[in-house]
Amino acid sequence: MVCADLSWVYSLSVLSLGITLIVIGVAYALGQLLSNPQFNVWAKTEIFQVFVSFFFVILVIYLNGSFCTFKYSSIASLSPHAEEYSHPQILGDDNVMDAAGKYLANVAYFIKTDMRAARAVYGVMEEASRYTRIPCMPAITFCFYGMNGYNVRPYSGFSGWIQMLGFSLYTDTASYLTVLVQMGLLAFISGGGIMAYLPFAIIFRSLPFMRQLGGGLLAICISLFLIYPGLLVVESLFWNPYSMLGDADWRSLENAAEGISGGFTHGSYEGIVGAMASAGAVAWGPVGAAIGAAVGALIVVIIEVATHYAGVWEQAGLEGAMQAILRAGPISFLSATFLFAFNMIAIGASARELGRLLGQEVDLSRLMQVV
Amino acid sequence: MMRTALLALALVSLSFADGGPPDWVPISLLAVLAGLGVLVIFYLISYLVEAEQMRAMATSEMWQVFVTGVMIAGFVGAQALSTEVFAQAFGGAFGAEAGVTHIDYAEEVAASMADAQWNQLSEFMNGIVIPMGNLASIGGTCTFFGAAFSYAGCASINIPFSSASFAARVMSTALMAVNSQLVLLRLASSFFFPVLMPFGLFLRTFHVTRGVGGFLIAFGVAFYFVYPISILVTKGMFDKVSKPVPGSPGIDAVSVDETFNYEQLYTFDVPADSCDPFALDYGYTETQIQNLMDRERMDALLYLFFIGGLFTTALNLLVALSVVRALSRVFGAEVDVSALARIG
Repeated sequence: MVCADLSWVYSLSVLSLGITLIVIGVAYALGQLLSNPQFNVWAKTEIFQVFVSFFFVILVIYLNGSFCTFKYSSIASLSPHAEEYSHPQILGDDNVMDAAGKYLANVAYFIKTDMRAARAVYGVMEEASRYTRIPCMPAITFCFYGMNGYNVRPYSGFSGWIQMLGFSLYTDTASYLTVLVQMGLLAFISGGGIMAYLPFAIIFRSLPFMRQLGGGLLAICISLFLIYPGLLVVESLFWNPYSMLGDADWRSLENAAEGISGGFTHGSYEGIVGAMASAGAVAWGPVGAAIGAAVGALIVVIIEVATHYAGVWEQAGLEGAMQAILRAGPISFLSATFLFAFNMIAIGASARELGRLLGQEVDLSRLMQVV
Repeated sequence: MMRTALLALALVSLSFADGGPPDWVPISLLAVLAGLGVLVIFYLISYLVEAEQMRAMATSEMWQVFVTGVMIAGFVGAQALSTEVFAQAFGGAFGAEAGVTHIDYAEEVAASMADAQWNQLSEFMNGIVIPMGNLASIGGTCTFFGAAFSYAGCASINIPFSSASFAARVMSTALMAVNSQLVLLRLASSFFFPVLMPFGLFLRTFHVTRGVGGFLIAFGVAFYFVYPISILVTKGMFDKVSKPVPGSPGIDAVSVDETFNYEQLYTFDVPADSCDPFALDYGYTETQIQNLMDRERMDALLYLFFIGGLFTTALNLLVALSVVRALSRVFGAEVDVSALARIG
């Protein structure tokens, strides 16, 4: 993210200033011509307001320059977490906009990792819950009866975990989208998109009956442009979701996503060999026991080959991953949604105060509700 | 250079935060001094450009700096009161050790609630949901010379199993709510109060940023003082009703290894007394419904998760946000916290 060149805002604002001054000048001339003191009073009042508006535009452009030349390294030492950001790393040379953008990218990375972990465990649980066993019954027949008997999905109850993971994924997805929206909003702000309203604000503030609209526009633009990136940078200094999870090296969720390997046991191999050997012993004595054991070993080999690529899962590992996911979900939600709403309310409070100063009561509560 | 200096001035309030949790008092004082410095500069400029209005505004804003200083003194007193008196009183009432602050104790309480809920959830899953799902999946197959039939004689257990799965999901929601509470407490002690509040004190000294400053102060104060105390109070209310959670029933499901056991050498029997797919006995389902709906266990679980997890969390958040709204007005901001309340 780079700081946008706002010289076009400056040019347009000067143009707006010129147009508004011309309109006011014409009104003043008309007032003189028609000997109407109302025109003259209006023109004198408005000429002051035009310069007030223009002052704010100049202030925004000036502060934009400050944001762009500011170095994150000058405040990074305040933070216990600044060096932990690595996806991407917030560099010392980053300005306010870049640092805010990278902080959001790190939050997005956290939530995405949380989603990956939830998705991986979800997939494992789905596979496990469908794993069906059709035992060899009765064992004494060496499985000659084929499919007769019962079948069971021993991990079918994992669908209870799956429901929880579905809810967690839903929350994470909403959080992830919220962060993406914030990144888009920041890009819009830092790219100068919102500044396009400033020239209009100058004109509107000086037109009859449009003062409130112009003042409101100016207040919203200034609040969004200055307060939002500033709050994000302050948050980046003191709020790190991985630290909150107790995982400064950014690994526990990735481990939950990638480290689930090992295995569901496909049965006790000793049990299979033992059962076959016993069946053989009952049928043919010691020789039969040896034959049974060999058959059992063959079954084991077949199972091994058949399930070689299936992967094996440890139930205890899955529970640990579930616990990590259920802890990471609220952190994702608060980092993305709660803090976003908090920032927006702070912006709303700022806009309201600034709007009053500029002659308009700005109520951003509708915007808050949309958020 | 000047621009960087101006921005550094805005952030100077954070300069005491280096190393460990920042101490908010020097940060706040420095914030006020910074605000005072800026106003003095404005005051001097007003003489330079002979702007009476600017001078009057600077003088008026000086009063706000004074008010902010009084606020800091008030917060110091409130923090000492909450640490020395409230923490002792509440801590003593709820069993905290001496010297533990109210927010540390609230964190401890929330963490112990989260642990208790996780243990119960894990036990509920391993003791009821997973074995019940196991039983519900049992089916029987009979083949003879290419003719075959299969029968899912235990499938009706899916009825209590679905309810159990749904209950587990709701429990996980409650657990996530408690985990959120824990995260909010950590936010309050490490971010809202020591960082945002001094930042708010600084912003409040200027007319243009008084709204956002007042909101930040209100947020820091409400979540540092009121929220943890609300958690302790609701925990005390929660503990008034003692409901020990009984263990899970021993549901006799088919173990993973059992299908190859030696005991099955001569038989087609299903090694789970709780359900035999060929027995065509609906009593199996009734047994599992009774296992799930055991009154004592369900009451205790409902209390632990709905009251201890969902209701008290929502109540604590509502209390804190109501205080944010009221305090924001006191500190000069008008905010609509309904967005946060909805999220809560």
